Amino acid sequence: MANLLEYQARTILEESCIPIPPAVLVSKTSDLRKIKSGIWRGGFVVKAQVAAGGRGKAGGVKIVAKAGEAREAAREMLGASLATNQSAGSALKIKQVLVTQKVQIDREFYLAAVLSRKRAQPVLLISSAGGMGVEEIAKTQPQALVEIPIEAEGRVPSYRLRSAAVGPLQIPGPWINSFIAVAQKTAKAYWSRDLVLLEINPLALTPKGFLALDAKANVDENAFFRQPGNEALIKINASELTVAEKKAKALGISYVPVGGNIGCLVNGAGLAMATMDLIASHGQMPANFLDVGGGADVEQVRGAFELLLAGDSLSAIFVNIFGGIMRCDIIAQALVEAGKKRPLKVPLVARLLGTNVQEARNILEKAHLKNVQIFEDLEQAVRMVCQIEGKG
Amino acid sequence: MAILANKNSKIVVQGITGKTGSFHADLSLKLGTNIVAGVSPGKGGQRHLGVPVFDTLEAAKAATGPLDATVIFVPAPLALEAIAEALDAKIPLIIVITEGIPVRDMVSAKKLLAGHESRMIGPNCPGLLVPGECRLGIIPGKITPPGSIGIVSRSGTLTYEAARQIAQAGLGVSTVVGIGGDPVIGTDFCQILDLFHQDPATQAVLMIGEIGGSMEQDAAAHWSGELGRAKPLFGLIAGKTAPKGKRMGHAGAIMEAESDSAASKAQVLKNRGVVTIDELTQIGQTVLERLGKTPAAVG
Repeated sequence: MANLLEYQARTILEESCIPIPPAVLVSKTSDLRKIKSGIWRGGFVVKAQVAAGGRGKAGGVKIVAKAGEAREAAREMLGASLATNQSAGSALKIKQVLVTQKVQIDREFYLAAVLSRKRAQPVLLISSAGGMGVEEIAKTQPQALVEIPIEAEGRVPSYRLRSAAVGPLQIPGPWINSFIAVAQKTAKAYWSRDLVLLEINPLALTPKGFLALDAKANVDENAFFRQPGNEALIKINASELTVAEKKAKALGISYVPVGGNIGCLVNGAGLAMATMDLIASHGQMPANFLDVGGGADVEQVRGAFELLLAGDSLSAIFVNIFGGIMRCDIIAQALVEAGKKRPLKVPLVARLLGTNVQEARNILEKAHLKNVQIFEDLEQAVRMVCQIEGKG
Repeated sequence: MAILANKNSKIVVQGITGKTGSFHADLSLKLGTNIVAGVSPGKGGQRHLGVPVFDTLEAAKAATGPLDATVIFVPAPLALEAIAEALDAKIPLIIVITEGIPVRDMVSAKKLLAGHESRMIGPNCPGLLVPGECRLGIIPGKITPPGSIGIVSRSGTLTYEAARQIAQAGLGVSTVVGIGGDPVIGTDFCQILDLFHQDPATQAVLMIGEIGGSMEQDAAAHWSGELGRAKPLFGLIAGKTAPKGKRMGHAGAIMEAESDSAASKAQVLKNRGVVTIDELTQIGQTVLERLGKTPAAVG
């Protein structure tokens, strides 16, 4: 599940015939000249294209009156970095800037198609408190949040939307039908494009009707086999990822950096999370989540080790393998191969258990790897790695 | 005794000639699992691992008589179709091991299930293990002896770790059920707790959850309410160190709000009277201390 950028999400809205304001996409400085005075009535909204919410508060959105000011604002943003309260501590490089028409807004709504895990089906979430995040709406005015199930093929019966429109949403009579159309098109796009989120916030009611002023979309990567368009969009964004994240993606392993200093390599997502928790409860912080999966081969595991060894902020590495389908000797062989390329500078503690654990020990012994200790007992292993950390 | 299946259950494997399906069907057969048929389009008439292979489930059923359960190993793009085929063949228990199925297909599968009496477990799950009797899926077969602890979990290797610790503590397991790590799954914690509640062989239950969704909280409420806390419930929630908004391997393991964080889930479980296990290394010890090594617990 991967986020699209706003300008990409807008293309989905456009294809679905959901009204959006006119815009100019700036990817390079020569695009700036497309922002001409008189291009449209009203002012300009200049928005940094980064895959994280909270842009407005972080200075990634500027509203200006004149084309010259818009060009200046866009020029400043392009190539700069933006850290928001939702970008997980890292600054994101701004590679595109979207400049849209500033329109007169009478009212703002929130509209999103999203999966309801409780119902095991997607729903439309709609609120008359547009502009703020859905979590904030749910917290401050839950009564203002309407939830309408999306049926098979993305259908939403119009009578349900009509009751919401005349009820809690208080949509003026002349605009009820166009509201229903926008909501239905949103649900349809969510289903037919295999999205896991399509959010329009705000959905503005202007004197000329509804307009989607901002859009967020998240695609289901498991559906790429039937959505080549989604895959292409995500590929464009791959440059947003860090080197380590790119490498993990190419290897087909799950990797999430979390900021501590003990690198982790585990088989299985649940065990990986529980192992990180265990390190934390022993007074140290894990650097990452890394699940090599059940069926990984030597090459994939070697890649995973290389990824960890490349990080220079680690003070130790912890390996926790519950060998079943995954064989411990594959882990050992991969570690030896990775160590040839880049010597192990920090201590590595491995808890190896199950399938072919003796073969693994033999391989590691033969390789005379310094800095490597093997345990079968998990408690002993975690104590060792956390103690090493403490001394360093 | 166990829940969902036993050594007499007649099992079919959909995708038996594929790499993963074949590997695990072989291990299951060696553990005594009663696999009576396999399905693999285009390979009907062959025998694989000594098991007759059919082109369709319907043909398998016609040849072998009623089937108790199917284990699905087919590739993700074909999984919805395989589930529909199993529903049409009225197979009571459908276990979907396949990982990486689009969310939309699981929403469709849930809609189909609503019109049938079959139960689906998974997808993206390790399946079911009744120690000493049968193995429907990919759980290591000799991890624990039979006993009286029921295990239900959203993950794989973490579950094996738990089962092993229970075995090391001198106890045993009635049934291990992996319900899967996806956001939309066939059977949730509540439904499995109901089955363990009714199973005379199960004396206590260990529930292994993680960040994302609200299944663990719902199950704790159900256990302390409708089920009257009749059998002790142990709980472990993985992901206390997981950052917000990041998917931790499993498609469903993502903390979207404060309420679905590991800390908040563990607190809800504690408040409901669930014995909450905070550390991965303390599973076996905690269960043993709480239950004692009574003959009933050993089984």
